[in-house]
Amino acid sequence: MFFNKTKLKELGWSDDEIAALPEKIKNGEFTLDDMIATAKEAVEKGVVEPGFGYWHRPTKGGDFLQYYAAYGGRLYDPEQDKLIVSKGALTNWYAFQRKVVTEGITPENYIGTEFAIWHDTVSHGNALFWNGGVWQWADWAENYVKDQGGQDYLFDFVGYALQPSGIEGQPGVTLSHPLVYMITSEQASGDSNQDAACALLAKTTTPEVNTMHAVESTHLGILKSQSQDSEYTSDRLLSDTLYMLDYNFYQPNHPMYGPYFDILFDNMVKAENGEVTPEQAAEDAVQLLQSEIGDALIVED
Amino acid sequence: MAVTTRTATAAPPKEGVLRKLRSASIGFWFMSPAVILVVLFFFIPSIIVFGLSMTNLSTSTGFQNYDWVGFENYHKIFTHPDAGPTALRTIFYVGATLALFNVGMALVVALLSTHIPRRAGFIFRALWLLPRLTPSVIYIMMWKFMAAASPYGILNRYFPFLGGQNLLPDAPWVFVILTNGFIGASFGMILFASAIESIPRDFMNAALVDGCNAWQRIRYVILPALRWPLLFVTTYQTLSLLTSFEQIFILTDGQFGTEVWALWSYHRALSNYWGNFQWGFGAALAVVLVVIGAVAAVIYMRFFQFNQLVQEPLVEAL
Amino acid sequence: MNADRMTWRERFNSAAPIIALSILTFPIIIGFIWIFISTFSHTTYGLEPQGRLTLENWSFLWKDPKIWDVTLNTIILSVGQTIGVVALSALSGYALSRLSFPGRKTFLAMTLILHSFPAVTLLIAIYFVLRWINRIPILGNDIPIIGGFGYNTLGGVILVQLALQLPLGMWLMKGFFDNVSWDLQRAALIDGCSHFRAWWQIILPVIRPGVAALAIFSFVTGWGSFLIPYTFITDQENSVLAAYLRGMMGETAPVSYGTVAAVGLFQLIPVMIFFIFTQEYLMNIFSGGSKGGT
Repeated sequence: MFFNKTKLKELGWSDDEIAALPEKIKNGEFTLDDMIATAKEAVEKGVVEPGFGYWHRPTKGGDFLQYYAAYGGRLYDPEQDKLIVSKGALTNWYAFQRKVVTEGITPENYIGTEFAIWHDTVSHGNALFWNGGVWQWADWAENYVKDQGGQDYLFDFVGYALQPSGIEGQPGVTLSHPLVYMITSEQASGDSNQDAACALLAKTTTPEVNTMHAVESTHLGILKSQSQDSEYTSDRLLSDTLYMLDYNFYQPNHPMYGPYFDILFDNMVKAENGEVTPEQAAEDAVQLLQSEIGDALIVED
Repeated sequence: MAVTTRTATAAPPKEGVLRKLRSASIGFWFMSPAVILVVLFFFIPSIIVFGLSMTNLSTSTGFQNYDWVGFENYHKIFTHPDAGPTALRTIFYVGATLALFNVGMALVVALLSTHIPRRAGFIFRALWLLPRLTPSVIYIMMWKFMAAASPYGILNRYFPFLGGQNLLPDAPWVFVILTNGFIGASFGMILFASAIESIPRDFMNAALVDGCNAWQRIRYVILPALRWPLLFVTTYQTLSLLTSFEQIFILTDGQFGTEVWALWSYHRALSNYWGNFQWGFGAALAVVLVVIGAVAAVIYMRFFQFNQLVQEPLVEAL
Repeated sequence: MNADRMTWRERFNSAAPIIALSILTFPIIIGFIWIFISTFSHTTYGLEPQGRLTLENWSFLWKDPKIWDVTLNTIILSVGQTIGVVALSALSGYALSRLSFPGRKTFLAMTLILHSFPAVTLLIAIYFVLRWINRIPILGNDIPIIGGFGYNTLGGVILVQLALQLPLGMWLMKGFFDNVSWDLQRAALIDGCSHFRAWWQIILPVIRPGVAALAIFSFVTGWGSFLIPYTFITDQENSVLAAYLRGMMGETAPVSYGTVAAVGLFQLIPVMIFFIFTQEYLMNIFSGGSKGGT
């Protein structure tokens, strides 16, 4: 989660409080409810325009699961190799999405906002809190605030922390997304250069190459050894956010995960738009999940 | 002329058969390249798709472990809670866009652009073709910025009474129909306009001299000349709309209640970020669409008396 | 007094269509003005650029060599497809219009119904067909420029797109041939021409405007084609403009939306100019032939 240090100061926070925010989120002392309250206060005091208190991701994406996880939701049971849906966490997640609208810190028709607009708004400091990915930093520096000073401009007013937990005392969460290199088999491709392909991958999966990529596009590294690489550690954003890797979770690699996520997201949108109540949306989601995924699903409260 | 008649009436049966064979073989030679391609890339694939719809082929089964499941996919479709609403939405979408734009606006623009100086008509028609020529990513981006929240959105900036919010979730169908319609109208517009322009000038002038006003001339001289183009455009565009989804995909991705049948099939079969492509089920959805489209095409053809258009060619003198 | 009022009404009558047309065309005009402006600015509020105007979005023209390879591919694809569509549609349209052979009527009906098959659902099946073609020696993979006719070749994409355009092409061509008078047909055949010679030397030239119209339509469609090239070409070097454009948009890498719009305009402008110059021919779809028309 990113936050606007300048606006927090306008709200009356001291420099120390602002600096301590990431730590508090990490320890579960600043929860999603606290964030809503802060944003609401900012809107009421005119520090931000209405609807600019909290800007989560504007389009479909796995990031939303951070709220599900923030309320204790579980995704996957590796022993049984089944997906899990935690009804209570699901309902709380949907309720949170609706609450940010009803409290006036997120606009009502927010989902579907064009990314170009989203980037422009948040990178120019018009929102108080917003939820985004570490790689967007380079995007903002390169494409949106380059004339204002790029990364330096951002470091001036943007702070970053884990996604706050929904439960007091629980640490914050963040979503990561591992990728896998795959080489087509001889049977599938008709080529027999699998060894060469493997060697090529080995040659490119080195700390130096990947750190170059990570620094330039502000992505996370992929090798643990990168955290010792001097280029990596001297990049301010990357080294500041390194601790977050201890608190991350991934989306499971289950074949039915696609439909699972689609159902969760579609019903989330309905809850956020007010089309149905959060409770109803959660009920609908679980029902649909059961009919679509059936045996591969565990439903728990 | 006399030669023709004599040959035709004096042909004994055996020669008649030969002539038919000859004609048929020439026909086949002419047709063969096109037929080969149509068979390769239409017929065979459609049979494969029918076949696919009877399996549970997906990325979780892979190409090795799939099963034949008969009509199970179809059963799944017809008992699916989304099926009914999606079908209704699709009918609404096709009907509205067809009537308002693909045929309606096409006709209006064709008529208007042929009643103004020729150069001006060209310019307007070229403008109406712009949406079709533009890469869809850019075209839809333009519409998204039309609908966007202020201060970015074009509509919201110049019409503040609209409220300032992102208009797309508020009125998704308006934008879906507009985006598809502006593209679709250009097809009919070109066909109608060229048909109108090919009506002999004398006819057009004579009507006016006889006391018709512009409206009557449209009704009694122009519209009858448009019968074939109207049939063709209506049929062709109905099928186009039924199977189109790319604009909706980019605009709303089916959210806000805009998931039409073709998009549903695409979502299932080919568009899953987490990689579970359900080809079997998606194929079954596509087959349903094809059947509906084929039925619609047949109905149109009956209604517009297709048979008249495909009379056997006059037997030639060979 | 009377004369004056008539002139007013006449003026209104001749201005009314232009006014109406302008109102209807307004969204398009505004929209494309926006696109144009956004390629020269970083952000726009409505139609107004924020900050300085910039040429940065257009810098790909001189900074990115790949754009020219991709443009060349797009030209090859469009031209190849157009030649194919016109040739095959002219051949089969003639047969459908002038020759009698079994299955003619069914084939005609089929081609119209074929349009109800969404290209997207045939994608998977076509993939199998193309992979099978890959195994044919020479034709599969080793033809210069277009690479071959199989999967992951420009030639393969040309074939597929050409096939998908054939139903429309055949119908249009049949229509044009239908308009040619039978007298001309008979005269050619009586004089001893084979059907092929009659077709090539006598009839085809008569419907030249129609042929031109089909060629233009096909070229314009081929230029903007996205789905087929995107699906069946995996090497970036063989890609076409529309696929390249789509490849520029991603979520986990910086996207300069101004550049995206600029590339889009870059793709649009050539074909728009082409269309402006050839619109005259498109307008003649129905006025070819020695019978009917102006």
